[in-house]
Amino acid sequence: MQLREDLQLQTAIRALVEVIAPAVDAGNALAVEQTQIVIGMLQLMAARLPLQYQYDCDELVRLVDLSRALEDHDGRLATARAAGAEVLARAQATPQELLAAIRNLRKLSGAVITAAYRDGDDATRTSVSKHVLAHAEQQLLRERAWFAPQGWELQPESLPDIENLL
Amino acid sequence: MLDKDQPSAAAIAALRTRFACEPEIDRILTRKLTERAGAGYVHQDLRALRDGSAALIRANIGDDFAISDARWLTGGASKLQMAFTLEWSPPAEARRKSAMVLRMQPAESVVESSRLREFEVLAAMHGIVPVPPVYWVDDEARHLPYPAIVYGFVDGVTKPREATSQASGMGTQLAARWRDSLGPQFVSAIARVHRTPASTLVLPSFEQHAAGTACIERTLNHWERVWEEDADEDVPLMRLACAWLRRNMPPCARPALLHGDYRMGNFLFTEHDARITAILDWEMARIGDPHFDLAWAMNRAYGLVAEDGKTWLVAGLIPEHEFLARYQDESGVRIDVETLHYYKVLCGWVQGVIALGTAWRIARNRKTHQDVLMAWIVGIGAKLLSELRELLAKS
Repeated sequence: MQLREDLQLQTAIRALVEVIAPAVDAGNALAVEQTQIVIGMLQLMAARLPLQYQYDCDELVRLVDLSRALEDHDGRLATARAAGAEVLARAQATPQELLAAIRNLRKLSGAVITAAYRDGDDATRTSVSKHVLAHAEQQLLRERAWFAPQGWELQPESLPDIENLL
Repeated sequence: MLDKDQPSAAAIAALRTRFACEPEIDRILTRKLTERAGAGYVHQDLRALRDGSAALIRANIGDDFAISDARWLTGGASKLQMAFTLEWSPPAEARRKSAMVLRMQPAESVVESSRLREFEVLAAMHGIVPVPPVYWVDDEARHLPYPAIVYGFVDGVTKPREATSQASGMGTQLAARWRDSLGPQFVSAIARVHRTPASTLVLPSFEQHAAGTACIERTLNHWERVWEEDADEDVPLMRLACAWLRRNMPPCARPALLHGDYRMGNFLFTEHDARITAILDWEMARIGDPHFDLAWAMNRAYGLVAEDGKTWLVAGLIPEHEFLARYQDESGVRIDVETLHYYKVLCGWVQGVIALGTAWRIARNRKTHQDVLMAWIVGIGAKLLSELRELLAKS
């Protein structure tokens, strides 16, 4: 997916700072103040969003440690600690590592497709086309559902909710 | 590996060798890459543009003129536009006041194009289809912050006041009374452009092509180069489309001048008589196969379903069968179904290059006057690629 939160925030902040904020009526103190707060809020979000997942994992590590040190009267804390530790064990890859793996596979798949079309025989080309089109069908369905709120779709009701596709 | 944000001279040279483009296309793409590592777009106020316009006009006609009433114009996702009034004495004419438009590109544009070509094609189309009169060009940005042209202001709107639309004129909903009048004019105009022999037009910055596959090969080189220069993450479907297009190039019997972005939103009409007053946005014009303009206009992103819930309207204006029949009658061009299909695939792929490649890159590198709109446009990529996928599945 090409349109990610970092670009959305960067461009929204630039529009607010360079175009919208200067045009806000200086006599409307409430609007002036809230425009500045919105800009600050978005700048904070842009800076911290890439770290949000690591921040939550880090917090969970320390809460698991804390729970070990606390007196556990009825075992509920031990159960929650075990569940927390199990989630931590599954949360090993960072979002950045996940994205890097996606980008690498996209790139290498593209190179293989180009080479197969250039150098392969008809059977190879047919096979490549079939697999790429099948992959794109599922991937594009998800991307269209993700961006449906933008309003590009003529029949948005025909798309499944993104929550049901993931 | 190519660093797309800071391409080296060697990397730029390698791209130029790998993708042989028309000389003027090569020039503007090379300029883009050479300047890419430099500053982003610097916000311009009206005074700076008015002063730059004055410098451009002075260089062409001397000091005997006055500029007044400078104001921003909206419209167009890729260029800045300023309207102004020019009091001047045109050659062999009485002194008068003329409404003018300055059209200037930002540091990088969602379609990187040549102001020189735009200037030439507007001049060449005068008397063939309605276009604004074009006056001066600052292709090297000697007078203005970025390359620009000045042309005459033309009355008209891109959509009726009551109509709704998405960004860049897409998805414009027109009532039947507008469509009945504008649809036939829309077809007639492009038929007249294609009917005119390209060799009779004065277009020194355009490469003329003989019949065959040379023109489509140049087009593929152009857009694949843009993809290589601009795209961030790769897209397997885009690679498949490009490979398919390379393998299936149809020969063109009679290359013609193409508008290149022919659709709703790129012409003006007057509301009182529903008459098209100007065909605009010729920046993607080139010499090529007329099927390209038809396929572009027929793209699903630019069309709509009529009120009956089933009739597909090309460009939201005219039923598809009527569009093709009228065009064939008026242009003298024989439409080949397989070639039209090829060009639909090509158009879908080019739109993918623009939306997913260039729009992303220039927004991220802060190169435009409306980065937020460029980022917004990236979101249509999946819808465009869905149509491309369907077309490829039928191939």
